[in-house]
Amino acid sequence: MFTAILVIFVYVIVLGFECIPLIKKKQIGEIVLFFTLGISSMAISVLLTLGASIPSPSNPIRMFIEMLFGKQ
Amino acid sequence: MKKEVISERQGIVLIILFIIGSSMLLGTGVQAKQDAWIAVIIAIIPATLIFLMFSRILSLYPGKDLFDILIVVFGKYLGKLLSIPFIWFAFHLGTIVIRNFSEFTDIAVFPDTPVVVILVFFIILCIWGVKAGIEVLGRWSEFFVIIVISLILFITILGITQMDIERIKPILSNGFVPVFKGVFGAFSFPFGEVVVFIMVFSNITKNSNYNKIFLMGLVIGGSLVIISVLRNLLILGVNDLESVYFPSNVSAGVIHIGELLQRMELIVTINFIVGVFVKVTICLLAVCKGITKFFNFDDYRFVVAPVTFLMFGFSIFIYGSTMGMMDWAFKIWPYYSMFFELILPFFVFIVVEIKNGKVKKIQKIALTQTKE
Repeated sequence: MFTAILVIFVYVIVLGFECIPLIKKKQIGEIVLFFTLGISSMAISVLLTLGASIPSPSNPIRMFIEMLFGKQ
Repeated sequence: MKKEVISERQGIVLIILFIIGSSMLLGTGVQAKQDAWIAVIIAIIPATLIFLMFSRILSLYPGKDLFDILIVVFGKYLGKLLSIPFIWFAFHLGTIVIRNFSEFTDIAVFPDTPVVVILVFFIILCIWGVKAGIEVLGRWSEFFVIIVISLILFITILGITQMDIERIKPILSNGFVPVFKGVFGAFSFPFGEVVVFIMVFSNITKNSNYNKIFLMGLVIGGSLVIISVLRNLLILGVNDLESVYFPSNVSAGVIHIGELLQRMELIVTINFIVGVFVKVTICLLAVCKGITKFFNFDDYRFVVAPVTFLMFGFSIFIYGSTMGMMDWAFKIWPYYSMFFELILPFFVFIVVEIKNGKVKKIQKIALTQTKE
């Protein structure tokens, strides 16, 4: 739990510093893209620190390849 | 915004470091067993062809990278749709390389330190490198490539004492089939991965051409890969090579000269860190450029930090274990990456050629008509 809060704290600091020049120039599109990516990566990091198992993209790709070319 | 220009030399150096980046770490052509070195040598031939293809795509549109070319050639919507698989490939490759590096530090260098601690510092450096741009990265690599190449040669020369030519014999004992599998593996990793560079290179200095950049990079990088593969085979032999995860590291560790020169694996670690850093940064640069061009923004720098964190998150859950990683790298990756390394660029290349031929024809007709 503590590490999750720490992760959120670090993200808030980094994203906060990074978005200051964008907000100053009032670039709305950039701000939206920046926070979409930033918040999704924060969500993944927090989930990982809380011990959730996120499905890896490797497994469906592996299944697809093995379906096409047979088991390697 | 100022245009970033890199020189021919910097381009070559970036490609060399990219090629030797993680192939030094994991080894390549493993499917061919003791003939891995032959497989790597043969793999350079198809690699030359696709490198010529990459350089042709880039040199037809000077000052533009792949994402611009796609939009020019295929139109706004189809071009953007086609850029998505390229962005995904660069992202996936960067994720995998970060994971390789984290496994390496976890297993071989700092077994007791949590991986996250090392990765956080590594990632801060990557963000810094990408924000500085490809020009700074090129100059940085120009300095470090000398160290990397001299260390590889140094370790190889010192390793001669441990080498035994019997270890690569019998040559071609299992026929050509495993060798071709090895060629396939070595072609997709590391040579085919250079496709990321057509998303990154846009401006080179005058009087320099892409052909020279790609081919010189391939020749020097490829020969370094051959040297290291051959060295690992001669020092360790096939059976030991297959039982370790990071062969270059182990083969450097075996070197024992007198009481003085031993435990050389830390020197090789410098190579890994430099190569992996360049590889991850180039992938990140490609992803950031792709995403910002997809959404019509001019500058890519604001998106670097979130994308890097996303890559970092992905690198932690992309594989369940080290075994899974090695299995993927040598069994699934060649087939999976072939789509992005060969088929998609080939498709783009053909369309670019047809379009250019047509444009030239129309220009010729227009010229003759105006003359008449």
